[in-house]
Amino acid sequence: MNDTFEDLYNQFLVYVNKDDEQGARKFLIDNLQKFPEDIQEKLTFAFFEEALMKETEGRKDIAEMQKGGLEAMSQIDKAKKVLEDKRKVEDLRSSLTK
Amino acid sequence: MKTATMDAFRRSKAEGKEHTTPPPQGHTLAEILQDEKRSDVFGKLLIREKQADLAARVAQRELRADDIKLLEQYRLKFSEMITRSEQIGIWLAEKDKDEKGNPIPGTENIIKFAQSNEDFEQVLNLLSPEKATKAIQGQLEEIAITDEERFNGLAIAMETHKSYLGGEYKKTNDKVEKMCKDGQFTPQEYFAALAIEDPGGKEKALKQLARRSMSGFKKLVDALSPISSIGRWANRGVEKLEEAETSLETSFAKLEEMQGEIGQLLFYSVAANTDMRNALTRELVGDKTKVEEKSGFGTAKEAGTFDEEAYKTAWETYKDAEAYDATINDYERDQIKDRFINDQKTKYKEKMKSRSVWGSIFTALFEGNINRKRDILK
Repeated sequence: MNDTFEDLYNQFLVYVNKDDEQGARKFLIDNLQKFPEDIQEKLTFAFFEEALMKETEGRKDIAEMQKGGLEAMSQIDKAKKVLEDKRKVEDLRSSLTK
Repeated sequence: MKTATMDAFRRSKAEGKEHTTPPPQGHTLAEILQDEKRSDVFGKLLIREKQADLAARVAQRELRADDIKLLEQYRLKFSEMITRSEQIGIWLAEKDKDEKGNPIPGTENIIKFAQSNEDFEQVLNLLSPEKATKAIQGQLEEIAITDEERFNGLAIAMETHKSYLGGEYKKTNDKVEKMCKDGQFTPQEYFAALAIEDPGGKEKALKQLARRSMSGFKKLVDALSPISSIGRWANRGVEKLEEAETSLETSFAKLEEMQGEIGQLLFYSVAANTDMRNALTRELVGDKTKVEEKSGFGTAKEAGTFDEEAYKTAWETYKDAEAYDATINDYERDQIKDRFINDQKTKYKEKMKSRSVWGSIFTALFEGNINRKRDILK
């Protein structure tokens, strides 16, 4: 089998027609350098885009949630302090009325 | 004095205006047209802007006098878009910045990025980081022109990734880890709670974890709660009792609310592995379909593959409609062929519903076929 673009495309279609996604993916990666340069660039970009999107998917949302968590925690600390102050006041009053 | 005032005024007016002369390096019309790839992308911009005739005249080097003004208008637009894509692409190719903030070239960023994805790492190993970076930068330029929506999505993702590698998100993550530690539960307990499949059960388990650190404090709050303290305080005739009572009730309600909130936040907070994080994200946006359609292979396949016979038939129909056989020279025939090719690409893109890696791959291969089959258009 030759390695012209047409041949490579036909080999790729064998996997596609079998619904063999993993085989198709492996074929493209293993034969990447045999494809003409313009196609190599587009395939490289497609894999880059996939990696980038996977890597960042939801990260922003999660980071926002985490920031919210930290904020809530700090609010709880403040609430704790307010209640502790009230306890001290009560203790003081209690000792004064004894 | 008067001149100085006027000069200052002129300078202040000038400072607010964006000068377009001289254009950035590589952005003059001559440079764009000399660069094979950029001239191709520029041609795509003209076609997108419904200036296919102008694009053809540029390609034929047969410009009319009034074309220059029009070209300058599109060159500015092109320059703007290229600048945006360059700004994004530059991070991939920089090692660091010098004292003046200029990028120092290097492949560290793209290597670091590839290490988190096996397929892309293989691509990088095959091509070399330098070549892959160049390919990505070139494609970014093209997408900035041909698919702005996709480009904007990428720009946001790159920005997020930059921030992550820059440590901003890691810092937050570290703080959350500390919060778990302060919460007096182990990571194993945390992951066990996260692994509960039933959402209600999962939330309950996480809330219980969140409450654990509060147990000692809750005893204190209970001791101060209105039911136990009203009698004591009332008997002692303490002033402003009602105020204290309301304040305690409010504080405690708020505390309960916050505990719930923390349970939710723990539920969504980051897990060390990507799959867990992705699963959590899907929970967050309530999108279960992403699991099945993660790669987009099936949807991309539906758009079809290149069929040479169908392509020839479409060409026969198109050329009849365009009176191709009545043309008098190669220039006119080439124009019709170009329009047909662009028309076929546009139709395929419209058919391609998948925005995934497979959508991009199928489109690239379909267009690769079309570009190489120009000679069958007779």
